Amino acid sequence: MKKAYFFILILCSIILGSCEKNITLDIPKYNSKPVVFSVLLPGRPPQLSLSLSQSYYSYADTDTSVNNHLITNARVYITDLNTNKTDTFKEDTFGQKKIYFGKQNIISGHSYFLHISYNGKTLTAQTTVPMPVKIDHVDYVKLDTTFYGGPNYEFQVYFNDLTGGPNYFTLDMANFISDAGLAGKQLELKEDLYLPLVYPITVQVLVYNANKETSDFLTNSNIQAQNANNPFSEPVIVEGNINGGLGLFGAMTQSPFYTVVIPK
Amino acid sequence: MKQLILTLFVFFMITGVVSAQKYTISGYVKDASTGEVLIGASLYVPKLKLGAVTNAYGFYSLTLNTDSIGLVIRAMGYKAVYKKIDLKKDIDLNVNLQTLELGEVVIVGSKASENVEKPQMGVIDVPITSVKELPAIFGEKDLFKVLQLLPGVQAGAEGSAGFYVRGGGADENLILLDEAVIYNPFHMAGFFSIFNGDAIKSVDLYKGGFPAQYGGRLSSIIDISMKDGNAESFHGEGGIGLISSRLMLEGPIVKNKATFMVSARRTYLDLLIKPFLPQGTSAAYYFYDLNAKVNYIISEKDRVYLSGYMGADVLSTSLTNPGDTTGVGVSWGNKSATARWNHVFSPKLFANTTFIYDDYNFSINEQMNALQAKITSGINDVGGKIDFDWFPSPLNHVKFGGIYTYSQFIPSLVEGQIGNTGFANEQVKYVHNAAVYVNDEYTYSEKWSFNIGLRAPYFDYKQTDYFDVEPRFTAKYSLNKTTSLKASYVMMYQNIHLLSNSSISLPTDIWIPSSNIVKPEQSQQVSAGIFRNFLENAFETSAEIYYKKSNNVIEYQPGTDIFFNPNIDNALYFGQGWSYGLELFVKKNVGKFTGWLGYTLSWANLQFAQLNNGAAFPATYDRRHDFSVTGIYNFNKNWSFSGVFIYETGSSLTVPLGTYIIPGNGPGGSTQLLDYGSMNFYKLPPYNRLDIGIKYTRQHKKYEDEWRFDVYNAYSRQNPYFVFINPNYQDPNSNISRAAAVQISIFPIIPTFSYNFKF
Repeated sequence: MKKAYFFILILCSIILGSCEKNITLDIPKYNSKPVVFSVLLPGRPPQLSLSLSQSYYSYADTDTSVNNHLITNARVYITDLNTNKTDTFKEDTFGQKKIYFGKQNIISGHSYFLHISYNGKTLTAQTTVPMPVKIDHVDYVKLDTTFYGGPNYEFQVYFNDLTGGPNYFTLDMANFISDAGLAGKQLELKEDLYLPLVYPITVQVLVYNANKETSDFLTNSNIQAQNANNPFSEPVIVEGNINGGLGLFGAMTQSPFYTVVIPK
Repeated sequence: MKQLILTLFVFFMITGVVSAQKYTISGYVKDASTGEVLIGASLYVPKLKLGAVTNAYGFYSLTLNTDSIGLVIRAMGYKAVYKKIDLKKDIDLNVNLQTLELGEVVIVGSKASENVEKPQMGVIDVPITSVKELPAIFGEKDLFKVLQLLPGVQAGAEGSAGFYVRGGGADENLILLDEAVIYNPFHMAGFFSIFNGDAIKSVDLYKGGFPAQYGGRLSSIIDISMKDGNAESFHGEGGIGLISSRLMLEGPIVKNKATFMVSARRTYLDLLIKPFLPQGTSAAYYFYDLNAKVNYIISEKDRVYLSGYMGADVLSTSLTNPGDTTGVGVSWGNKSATARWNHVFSPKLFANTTFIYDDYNFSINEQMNALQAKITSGINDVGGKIDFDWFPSPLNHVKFGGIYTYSQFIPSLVEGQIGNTGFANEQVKYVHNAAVYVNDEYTYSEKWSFNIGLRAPYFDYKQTDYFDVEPRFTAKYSLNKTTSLKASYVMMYQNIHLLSNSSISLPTDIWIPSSNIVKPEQSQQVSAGIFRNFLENAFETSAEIYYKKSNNVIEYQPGTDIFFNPNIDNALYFGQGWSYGLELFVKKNVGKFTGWLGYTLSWANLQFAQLNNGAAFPATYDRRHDFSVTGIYNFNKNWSFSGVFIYETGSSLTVPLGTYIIPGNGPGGSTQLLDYGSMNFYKLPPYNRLDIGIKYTRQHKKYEDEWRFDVYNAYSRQNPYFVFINPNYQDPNSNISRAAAVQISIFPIIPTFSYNFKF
């Protein structure tokens, strides 16, 4: 009888003990890559962050602050391909971060070529700044939910699409809609917001128009970050447009503000 | 190209017809003990070296010009019958074959088996006895788990009944149950298939060389026929297992005229856990299957069949406290119904007319106090088809016909109520699907025979039409009586597509039709092989090579919400795939020891402009080596032993290699992103497993019963079910949080007792 109990015990141990285990992936050594991030906005001088990626599995990666992996003393400049003017960036401090700043304001409709060199390496990228759209009108609906007493409103933003493209529109810089097949038609974006409980409520609405590489990068970055702890998620690969590195050299244009006043 | 195929086709037809002869022998071949018609039984005239094969309804026709012949009739697992016939007029000849006794070997004449003789390749007649005899997880005998052991068929995740054929995706397999399409053939998130072995008569797997009567999927056809029911006497069989029990009853309604078969299976995990649940809580999960079939022989020329299947998985939980009621119910399942009418117009012309209804439905019901919501997804078809078998001469077997299906796709339907206010959001897509086909199996000479077909599918959805032409061609050249060489070319189109949330089969996967954005998927496959039998067909062997190219294959943008997305077509990527490989198969059919050995060496690649920087990458199910061996040893009438061993290269995985930070996520904030390596570049550890089973059978006066002891994964190998990266793994040695790969294995060694009986 004791033998039978022992057998059952061994069997249960095997069954219960073989569910989850850490394994070592036999993957090649990771070589750090330069990471560029810059989104050009019309009417403003450009700015750009430059850093290095790290191995995902090393202990050193636990510090995720930007400064630890910054690339300093790089030569950074962009060329306006419409005017052939070159703007050389200056390394500067922005709060606790080091960012590269240009001086010349970005212009809608112009294309820009980025050139970065550091430690004998060269990175390049190109982007075109989209044209702005104009909001036609904004409708809003009060929803049933509240947040700390503050009302929740859904805003429906209507604007006329631009000819040409493709264009990618967003209200929140995370969820973009494409105008593929809809060029020139009136489009609608929706967003719901929790607002303070002080009437009348004034809301300023604007629509961002991005180019494809910017829309793809920001959309996929957002999805990847949201699914970071989901073991069932398929991998979301964020593909940038930097030759020789990771990241984005993109552009977005914002519409003029449209003011909505919600009376009590 | 199309004209050339048409010309060849007409040439072969005319060649056959002009040599058409005087008298025809026709009829049905049946199992003598049950009266079940036998599919694929062969009739052979050694003197003329000509023969015929029974169709899906057991009917054959053989037209000859001689007045005295010997006819050998045989089928796998049955004693061959020799009949001497004086052919002076058309003859109706129904033949009953006796089953072979255990270990009995019968020399079945000089003709090689179908696998060598027929101008058909990439086809496996799946042995149903193996489904019942081989060891299985929890003792649940599963048709699809046996399919996975055949060369060219790759298994899905650990323990899953899902499969991939010759590098094709999971949605590229057409599964037909008595001609009705089964859209989700799985229970329990893919661990078991819905097919209850007790109710199944035959299964044919087509991996290539598709005859023209089949279409609609790129990679495989699994044609399953339910038992007709015993025409001689009342019988039953059933079993009691660890997680489910089952019962099948069959018999004559009117002896030799009308029969029935009903079969049921249900799991009872829900009943076992019920007593252990806290008060106010309920939780249940179960699945069930019901199969039923009735057939009635109206006359020698007319026969009707009615068959149906209904099965579902049901999962529910609820919590009731004073003033607070929450509950969730999830169910998914298939229903199918088929009505068929066989009519023999003449000894040379047989027709089958079928009306088909099938339905796949998935629903979630949620209640949270005043909120009630229901989410539904599914697809249902109503259609009809007509198939003719025409035997103009002993050299030609022509099949032609057409099919029409009206389908209703519901990617997601959300409806509900909050208090007294209702809401609904419905997306329904209505689709017309049709096809006509013609196929000729033509014997040119003793050495050469051909299978030539043409299928023309038509698809219509929302003013978008697709009309395509699919040529099919297989040639066979016999080197000698036991060896043949074969080659085939097929083109296939697929107009419905599965979007899957994950690599495991879940009911939340949705089917979508082709549209103006989603073009039909298309594949072309060429294959060649050598087929040889040894020792009077006791051993069947084959070696096949194939290359398959697919266009318009679909992936969706990572992270896309496929379930609630009304514009899902815009979130899809379209690319191409190609796969190639070598398949070796050795099968022992007769004797005390039976079984087979299969090996596949294969590659499966995909390429999308938007993924992996546009570079090609291996498919998730790209497995270089896949080896399996099965064996059943019948020691005597009481004891038998069985075993399965599988070894396969691990599946492919995309894993992050690096990480980087970009500014964002609010002023002064940052976002951590992952730098993945090339898509699916990492291979998981190899999968291997040994299952063993022992069966003790007792014969009683009125019934027979058996005790089975199966051990699944006998050496408790921790095979990966899936691997994921835990970004916050707490290293016990350094106490530092870091990313680490975690492997989930779900099935260690699982011993199971089960009891089966039949009477």
